[in-house]
Amino acid sequence: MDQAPSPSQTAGPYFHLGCANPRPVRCVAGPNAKGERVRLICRVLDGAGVPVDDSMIEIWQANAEGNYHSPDDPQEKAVDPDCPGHGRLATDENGSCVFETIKPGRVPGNDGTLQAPHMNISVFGRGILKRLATRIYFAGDPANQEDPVSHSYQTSAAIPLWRTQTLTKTAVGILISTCAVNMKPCFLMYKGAPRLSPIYDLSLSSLSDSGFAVPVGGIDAGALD
Amino acid sequence: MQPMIKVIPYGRHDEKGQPTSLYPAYGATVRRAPHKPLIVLPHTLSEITGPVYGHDDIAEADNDLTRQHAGEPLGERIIVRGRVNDDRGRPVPHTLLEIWQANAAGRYRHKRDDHRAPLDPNFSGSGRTLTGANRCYPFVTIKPGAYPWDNHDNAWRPAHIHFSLFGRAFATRLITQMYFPGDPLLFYDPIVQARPDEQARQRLISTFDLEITQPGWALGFRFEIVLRGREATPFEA
Repeated sequence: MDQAPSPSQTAGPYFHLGCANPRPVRCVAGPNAKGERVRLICRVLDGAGVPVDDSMIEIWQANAEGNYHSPDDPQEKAVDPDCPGHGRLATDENGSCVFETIKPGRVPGNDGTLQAPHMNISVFGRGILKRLATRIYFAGDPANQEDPVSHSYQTSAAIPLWRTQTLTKTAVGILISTCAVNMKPCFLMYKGAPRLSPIYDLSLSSLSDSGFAVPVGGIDAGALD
Repeated sequence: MQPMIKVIPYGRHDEKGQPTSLYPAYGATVRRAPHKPLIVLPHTLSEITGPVYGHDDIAEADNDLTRQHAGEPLGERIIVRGRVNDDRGRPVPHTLLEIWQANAAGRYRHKRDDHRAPLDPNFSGSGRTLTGANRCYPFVTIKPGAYPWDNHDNAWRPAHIHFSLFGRAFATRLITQMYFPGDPLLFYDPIVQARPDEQARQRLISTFDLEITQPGWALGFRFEIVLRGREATPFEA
């Protein structure tokens, strides 16, 4: 490494000026895109359960064939021009925003595997010094059993992350795992301290307990009933 | 069995070079920072790809914040220029940069900014551009003012411009801030101080550059941005 990467800084409370207002992207996949239509309702809560009304959520996802609209995707599959796969919205006074998209297909993983359908999520905002990265998987998809990321959370967490219907407002703190299919809204939730959410770190050089066996941690199962 | 996809990952950050997520002196981090260890995710196609923008996304005056209204904004006109490289010094061409900032009086054109300073009808405070094939970007704007915030007693943010960059991949996405050299407020600002490493802090501060400065018209500042790079080029692999 010749030059250290530039340090991250918070987007602050006024990011709408530069990012979300001039370029909101609610429609991640257009009405003509191939695939199952999905409406994704995201809700961001802080560690006290208070809706975060000044955060921004970005989505990056594959098309229905599991192909990314990017020159760095080497797969020999047709690009779906109606599925750019990128979304970006600010959260409203309820901490919420709503994306229209399709369920992505399975993207190749490393070592000849296939990943379960998922969306890649970034959260920015006031008080967030470094981008929070995570994924959303689709409840009930059998492919989750085969995916090293989703499967480990399913087995290591104290709660069944994939039972979407049980994830009501009492399930505060689960960032990963919920999504809407067939236009039925569910919730993506992000919670700060006490941290319950698995937040992926795409930047740290190493962590002592890296790997997928790290439990989501700290979950009081009773809090979900 | 799926066809093998060769993924060349992006480099991992040196922790010292990045802020900690939790920095209690910056009060808003207390309820918003992860409290559990983060999980390192191996890079897959999902992380090494990202949205691509083109010149269709950019209008002609988007990178000149002094020409977006009928009149010129008040304040000290400046040129901000720099390169976008990866951490091995390789250029990152054709990447989208978006900026936003306060006006010369330290006020954002934003409904939530209630600082008792005037708005400027000739200044919106947002711009965007793409790096060219030569990896350079230019902005023309006015120097933003410092402004108070309610983080602690007598708290003031140093003058800064917010920068948002995509790079080529989900893994390279970056939002940062550019500061100005010699600003006494930098020492007191918990957002600047939220990183342990002095060298890292220095990378957030632009440098005055007489070569960028245009005689009789505008001062020039250089702000170099470094994104994470892939560990090897595909040709090296």
